Amino acid sequence: MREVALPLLDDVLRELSGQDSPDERRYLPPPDDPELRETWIENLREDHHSDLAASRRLVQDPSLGTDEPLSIEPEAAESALRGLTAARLRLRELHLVDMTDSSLEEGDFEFEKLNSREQQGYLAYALAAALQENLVLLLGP
Amino acid sequence: MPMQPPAPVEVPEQKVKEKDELAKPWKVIVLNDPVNLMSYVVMVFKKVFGYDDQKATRHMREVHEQGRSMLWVGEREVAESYLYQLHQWRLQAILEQDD
Repeated sequence: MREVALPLLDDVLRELSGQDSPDERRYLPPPDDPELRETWIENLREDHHSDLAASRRLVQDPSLGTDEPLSIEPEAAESALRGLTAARLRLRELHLVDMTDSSLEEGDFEFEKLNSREQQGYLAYALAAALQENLVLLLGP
Repeated sequence: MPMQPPAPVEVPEQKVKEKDELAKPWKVIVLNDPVNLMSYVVMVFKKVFGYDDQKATRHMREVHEQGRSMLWVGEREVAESYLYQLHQWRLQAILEQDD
């Protein structure tokens, strides 16, 4: 899984880093305040880039997936968590677009019946989720 | 010289309406998102709104089962700040004015 999922996850994070901003349609300020809109999007763009950079540092850490302990500061962990969410959203759009929300949420599908692109996408999607679960645990209550 | 009481000022109806509209509280609503993990959503609600585990979990379930959950009601400026934080965490959220 690691051999397939990790490079794909890193590719998606790299691709997202090259984009100007997160999907602006999803994250808009209230529509009746045009002055706020520019600042809002610009600030989200800055956060987006630092989150993706933190996620890439995590994904590229040689200790990941080994028995070696992996250390990460809480602030970087929060940032990486957000970046991994962006990656999962992108993987959903790029590789898992034909899967229904409920089948993905419930895991209600047969992996062997997915095509190769979907299988790779799902492995990276699941790896990102596993990393997020660990980061949430690490950040504690 | 006796003081004259100030003449009553007539406020145009349109301005009164606008003032009433501005005074109405704003609701911060989070929308369902099939991608985000339940544990992640609970953690975000706790961080952003200071909810305890039970309240954050209740709102997470409401989003999951009903498609949306109202997380906060109040002044627009504060509501915008909460909305921004939810967007930072990549949650889909909107503001709606109270009816």
